[in-house]
Amino acid sequence: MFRTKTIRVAAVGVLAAALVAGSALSAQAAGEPVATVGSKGPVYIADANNGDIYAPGTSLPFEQAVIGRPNDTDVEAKFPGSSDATSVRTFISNRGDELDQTKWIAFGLSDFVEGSKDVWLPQLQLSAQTGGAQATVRAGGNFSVGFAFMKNNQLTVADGGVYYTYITVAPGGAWTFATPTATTPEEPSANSFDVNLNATTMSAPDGALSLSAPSVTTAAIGNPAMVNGLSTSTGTLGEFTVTDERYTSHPGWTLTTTVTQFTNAADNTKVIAASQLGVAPKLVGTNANVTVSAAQVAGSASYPSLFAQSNSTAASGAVKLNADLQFVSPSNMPAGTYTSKLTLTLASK
Amino acid sequence: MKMKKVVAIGAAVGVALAGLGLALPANAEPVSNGYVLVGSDTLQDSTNALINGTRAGGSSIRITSGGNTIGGFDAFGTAAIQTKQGGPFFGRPSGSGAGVTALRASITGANYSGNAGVPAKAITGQVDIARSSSGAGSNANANGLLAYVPYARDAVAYAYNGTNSDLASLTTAQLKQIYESNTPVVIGTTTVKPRIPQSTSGTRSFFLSAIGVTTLGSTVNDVNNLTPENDASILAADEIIPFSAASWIAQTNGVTGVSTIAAGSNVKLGSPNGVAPFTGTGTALAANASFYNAAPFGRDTYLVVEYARINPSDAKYDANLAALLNPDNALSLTNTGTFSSTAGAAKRKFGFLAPSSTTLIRAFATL
Repeated sequence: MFRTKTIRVAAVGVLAAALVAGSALSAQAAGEPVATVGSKGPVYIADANNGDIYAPGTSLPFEQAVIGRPNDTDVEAKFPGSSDATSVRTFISNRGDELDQTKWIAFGLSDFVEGSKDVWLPQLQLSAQTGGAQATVRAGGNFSVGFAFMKNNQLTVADGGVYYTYITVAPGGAWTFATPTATTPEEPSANSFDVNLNATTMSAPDGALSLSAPSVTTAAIGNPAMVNGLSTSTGTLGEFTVTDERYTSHPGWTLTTTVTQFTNAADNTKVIAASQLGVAPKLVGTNANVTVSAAQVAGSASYPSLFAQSNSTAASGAVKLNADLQFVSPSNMPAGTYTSKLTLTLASK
Repeated sequence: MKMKKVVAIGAAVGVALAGLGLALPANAEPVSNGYVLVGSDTLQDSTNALINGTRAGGSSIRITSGGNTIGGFDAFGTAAIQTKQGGPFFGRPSGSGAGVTALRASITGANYSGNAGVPAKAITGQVDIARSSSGAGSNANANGLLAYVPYARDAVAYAYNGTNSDLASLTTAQLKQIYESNTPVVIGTTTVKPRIPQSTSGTRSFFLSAIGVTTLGSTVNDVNNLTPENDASILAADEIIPFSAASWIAQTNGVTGVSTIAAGSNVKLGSPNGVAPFTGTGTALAANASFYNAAPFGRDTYLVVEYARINPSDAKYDANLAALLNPDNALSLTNTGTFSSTAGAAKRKFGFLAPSSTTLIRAFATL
């Protein structure tokens, strides 16, 4: 009995649960404007001569006289402002810097519709953004162009928020723009990533002798342990970040976990159900607007499952998340390396 | 509007009398980051609005060029102006003719003096565009070195101060009689008291030409040649004066910085030959095309530039300046569109219509 236990412990000591990070965040296609993220609402680029919306993909000269419209159906439609707004500024910024006027690359002034706080047909002509460093934009790159309702002598974004769309400027100034494809809120541009999971196992020891296994480490990454006679491996998913900077619309988001079944690398007829993987989401630090879900328990896990979510009270900002993983190999499965894929999907509420 | 002009002229005279020609007053206007406009008083309110930002047309627009803002200098103000960084202070060009003269000097390097209070000096490169409410006239030349680019259609009518309709719709013949007569002219029961703007006024010369007057009658009062144009506040009872229809509309619509048209006053804009210069009421007046387009009171106005700078085949060609004067560009100075985000829509609120022709006129075979 004692011998058996020893052997079993030795065997278990070889168990390794290797977590291999898989593909990175999905990237946008180079040179192609993508749907705007974080704007208070859609912005359609239109011809200042007549209000006609340019066809998607149209390349415009840097000096082209263009305006913004909130929809593609009613040229009379205004961008709704807020009572606290005292001015309107137009801008060009790097993507992600739209809400911070100190980071705008080039800018100009606009104005409300007379007698209201709304904005109508804002002049988004790139060459008319005479403040800042317009030459930086003309040199080319990916930017946002739009306007902001401002207060505090143009220092702070007012409740009316910021409206913009993505543009891509070629060196020299010709530019293309993103045309809204849906009403707000837009989905984030990068909303999922995968983690490949490789779990290497050996034959689980049979019988109850595994209970006598010596005290090998059980908390370290990749170190297995015998729990109730089953090989139980633990690890961590790896820290990752969800960033939500939709400070004005802040609809909230959900993060969902899906896991494929584990397949033996040497014999793909040998599979272990995804339910054997336990995932315990963790929030790194604190964030009042984010809650993580209860752990899925290895052996009885069910996917897809909610990993975490934010409320719609305010944008969460950058949220670091991680998860403890636990993999329990059924006692009847042969030794080997088993692979699976865990997918986390971020979606706007 | 009028008060500024009177003060300005007085200041210029005062400087001359005191012999302080070299002691220039401090410049109150910022220098331009880009192109510079000088010249006509009649066009300045609308061009200022376009280059400084306006929502007169409905949406907010501002015309820039080459990534820079543009500087417009009024016809009246301080005696001297400095238009560009590090540039000389020179005499303010007060009116269409003076603006074109300054542009020519800016091109040739010849000394220029806008008024007696400021010594003549070289102003090379200090002026890019001259506002002109009159055309090239006898200076027109197929090989001219300047280009008169049509800006907008204006018309000249007359304003009067009256409590009845005697002066409401004078004919061309009646106006000619009033401005030529050496004895008071009576229309209905009203003894008309004609006034006339100062002699460099483009509105004055156009009006007198339109009604066929070459020599003013002795009853015409120009207050020692100090009467400003387009100022409704100066008229006493039964007085009349030539008045830009566009300026009247702009002031009534509230889009100018200052309005001389007091609410409830008896000063009105006359309807020459029975045709009203405008339509609409309140602050929503619009030019009446049938008045603007008809002789003798309608007139095209212009922005004048060096032709070589807008000629693509010339080494001096400046694409930004050409775009600024291309009427097809929604946000150019010469645009005549009607959509709210066009320069043309704003210009209409200033009482202008599209010019009768968009063909530029070359003038001045030599500068």
